[in-house]
Amino acid sequence: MRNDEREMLRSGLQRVLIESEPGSVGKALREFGWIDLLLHEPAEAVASLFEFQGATSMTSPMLDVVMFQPLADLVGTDLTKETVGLIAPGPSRGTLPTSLLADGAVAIDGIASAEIGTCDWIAVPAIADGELVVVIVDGPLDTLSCEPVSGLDPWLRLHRIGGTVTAHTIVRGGEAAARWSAATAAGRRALAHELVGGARAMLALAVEHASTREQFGRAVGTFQALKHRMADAKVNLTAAEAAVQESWVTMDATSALLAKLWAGRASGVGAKHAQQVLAGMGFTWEHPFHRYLRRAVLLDATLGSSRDLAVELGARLVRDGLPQVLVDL
Amino acid sequence: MSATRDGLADGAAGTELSDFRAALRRWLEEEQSELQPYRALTPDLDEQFALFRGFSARLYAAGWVRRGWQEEFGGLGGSGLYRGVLAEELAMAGYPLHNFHGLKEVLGPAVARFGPNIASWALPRLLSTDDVWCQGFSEPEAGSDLGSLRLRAESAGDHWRVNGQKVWTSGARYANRCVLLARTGTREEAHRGITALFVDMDAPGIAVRDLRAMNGDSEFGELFFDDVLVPKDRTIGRVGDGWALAMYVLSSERGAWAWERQAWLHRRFRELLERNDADPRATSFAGDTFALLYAMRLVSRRSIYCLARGEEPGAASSVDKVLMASTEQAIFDGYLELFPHAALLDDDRQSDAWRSEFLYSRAASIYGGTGEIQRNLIAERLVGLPREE
Repeated sequence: MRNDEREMLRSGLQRVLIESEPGSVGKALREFGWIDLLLHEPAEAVASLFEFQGATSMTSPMLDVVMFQPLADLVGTDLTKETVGLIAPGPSRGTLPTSLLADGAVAIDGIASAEIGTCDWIAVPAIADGELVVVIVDGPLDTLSCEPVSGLDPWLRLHRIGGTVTAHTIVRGGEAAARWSAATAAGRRALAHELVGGARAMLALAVEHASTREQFGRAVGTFQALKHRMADAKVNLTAAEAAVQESWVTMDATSALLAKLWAGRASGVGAKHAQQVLAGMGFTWEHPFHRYLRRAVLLDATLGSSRDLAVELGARLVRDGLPQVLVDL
Repeated sequence: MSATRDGLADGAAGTELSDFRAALRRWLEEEQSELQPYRALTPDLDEQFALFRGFSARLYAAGWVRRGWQEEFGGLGGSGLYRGVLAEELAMAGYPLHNFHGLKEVLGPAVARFGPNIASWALPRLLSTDDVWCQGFSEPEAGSDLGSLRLRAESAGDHWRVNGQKVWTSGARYANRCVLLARTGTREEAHRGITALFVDMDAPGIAVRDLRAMNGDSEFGELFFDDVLVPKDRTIGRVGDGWALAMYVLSSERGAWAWERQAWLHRRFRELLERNDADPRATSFAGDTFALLYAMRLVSRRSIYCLARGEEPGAASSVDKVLMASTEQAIFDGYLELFPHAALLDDDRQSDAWRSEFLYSRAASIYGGTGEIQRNLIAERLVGLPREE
């Protein structure tokens, strides 16, 4: 894609998010053609949407679609025509599913960003006899409960889904692990973009404040103590941006994990330092900072926090040793 | 998506680099028994230097170290990325990358860029290791504040007359040439009055004194200049260009050096993993440290791409340096935490070498600009915070 085309696409996409009512963002993005873009230029589709979400702390139900995509061929779903949802385990320690499958019925307990009641297809990772399975459910369904989540970040518009429904398709064993790993990787890449967008925005808020706010007769940003905080935020952000970009080059589960790990770190470090630099201003309800902080904490905890992911990665390294060359020159 | 790979200097395609990598691996395997002695890790600096020189001669004769350097400077041409592959393959095959090797990367490109007339005869000798260069930058009163350096070069006909002192010069006792920063203007001109000279270390009036570092090595030296005459045709670039050269050297010292270090640190990290420790702390150490190594690799790769295109990474290389210091210190801190007995008490050569590297890693956040200087640069140049009045 040429740079001018990319610019046009991005400004169009941003208009859609800004101008849509919160409840109809998904529909508006479909009409805009974002799903086509996801199928043909996934890196551009995910980067442009999720980084803008991060930058503005707006939201869309598209994380479900991104994660459903690696599962779509299981039931021959055409993502451009049918609506899909994915019920993932909510933020928790580790990334194991919380839904249970028994006797062909799945007891659902999880979090989704899509309006599950109207979806044509719903994917649910679940546990059956202690093993991971991936279940696809045929919608639309009005038997599931779908409660809006308020929690730390009500603006994220998540839903808590519960209830028991019959499975349409069940994938087990190695295939289930591979499918869920691919869906998780896709979700982690998208969340990494969103976290990076948020980390950039928090850094920008802090820099703007530090450059104009004066104390002791000088801009507070001239003090080295503040500079070093911002520099550390920038170092982490640079690492995260590089890891996110690389995750689209190698397109594997490990690079997606590392992208999410670094994006989570960058947003955690960025939030901590931006909060301190913004000082009293950043502690007000009126200042946009708290929205970014809420989003950063919640997205980091989704699909594995940076801490969880480091432990997951470390356990694998201790078991299997160092991969030969992970990133080529 | 190959955005990061676009626009390399001579279009060194990925396949050419991987052909080079494969051929190099083959050679290293074929020559393995011949090359075995060069894998030795020794804390003794004279031994290190002898090994470096012997190994470099082999690599030069086989042509490996000439790839990625311009033909007019004794190289075989091609993208500078060949040098990045070489460093990495040597490290992964277990050949230590001594600082002497790193110094070629730090100083060579700057002299090629600013002083091609000198580089045309001097660089071939650097590559063949007939010559060894050192870096005369820091002074007792000019560390982080390099722009206030005092060593003077006064015009004396066809020569510069040089007086003053340098410190923290790596490899000073082994070097026969020095890339020297001298003040040719006034103190008030600060960084604008600095000129770079290419000085023969055997010139009358130069004295070298070892500076023993806390790991016990005398890898650093102090240089004393007493009325040393340097021919004016040894001026690197123009009079007053010294600061620009210094900045270029520093961006190599942060970027290209970080690439070499990550190659070596991957090697050391692998050895720690292979010790197969049951300590639960090993898991968290492995995850955190690998994430750092990964970021260091990606970020320093960006810098060597930039250098290979003939551009200067500038302040972006300060990010490499901060990540490098964190990673390097994390690895050797981890070694101490996971293997305290070997690290603290054992006197075998392996433990000695690890211990020496642990101590040397303490300097990673000091040399080439302290962590504080790097963070100032990042904050002012990359983040856009106001400079101090």
